[in-house]
Amino acid sequence: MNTKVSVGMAIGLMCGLVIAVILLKIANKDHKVKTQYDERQEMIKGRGYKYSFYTMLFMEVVVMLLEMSGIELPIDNYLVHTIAVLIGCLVLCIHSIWNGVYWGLNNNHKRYAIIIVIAVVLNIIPLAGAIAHDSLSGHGINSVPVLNVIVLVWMAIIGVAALVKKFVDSRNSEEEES
Amino acid sequence: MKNLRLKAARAGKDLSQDQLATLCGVSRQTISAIEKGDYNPTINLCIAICKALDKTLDELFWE
Repeated sequence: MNTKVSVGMAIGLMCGLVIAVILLKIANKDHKVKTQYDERQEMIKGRGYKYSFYTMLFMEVVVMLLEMSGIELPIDNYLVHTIAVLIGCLVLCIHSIWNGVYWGLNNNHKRYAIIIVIAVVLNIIPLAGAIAHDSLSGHGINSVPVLNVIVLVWMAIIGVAALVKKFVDSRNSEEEES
Repeated sequence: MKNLRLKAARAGKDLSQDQLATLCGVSRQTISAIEKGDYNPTINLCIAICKALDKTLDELFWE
């Protein structure tokens, strides 16, 4: 990756951060950036962060060993590290979802759902553009907006986990009522 | 171990888990976890629940 692309990505990430802060302010009922959790949620999230940290540590060691052994992966190096970070985040998300910590106390569910839909659409646009311009074929993996595909897969896994949890919860409540 | 006394006290006040959770400043899942016996609340939360249901700590949480 050349310097121009790196600077562009850094600026993009900073803009993304600013947008995320604004969106969080809008999405929370009390217009605070920080999501509030109760004592049980804090405990579960704390455990989730621990598992997430160990996962990320493990993933980075694997990446390091791959680099040391000279094995070249078909994707850019920055993407490999991005995948490691996203897998770490995935562990936190799934652990939280599975233990009933998907909403904070001050979250507005509808606004959050809209933000998630916007995030999905923003990641689909580059992929749809590549398909529309027929630029997916001929240049191998580098012609695909890999980062967007990775983020979409990541979001899909979280979505499936949330749906499965919702299904399990509804079955459990039915059993409790009967 | 399930906390059936909490469930009964909540039902006695005609409150849903969601309503009790709002009164205590916690999530519905936390109230559900306490009722199922999956989570042991701190003394602060126990007191908040007792105040919301007009019960004493002994009545709801003492074995």
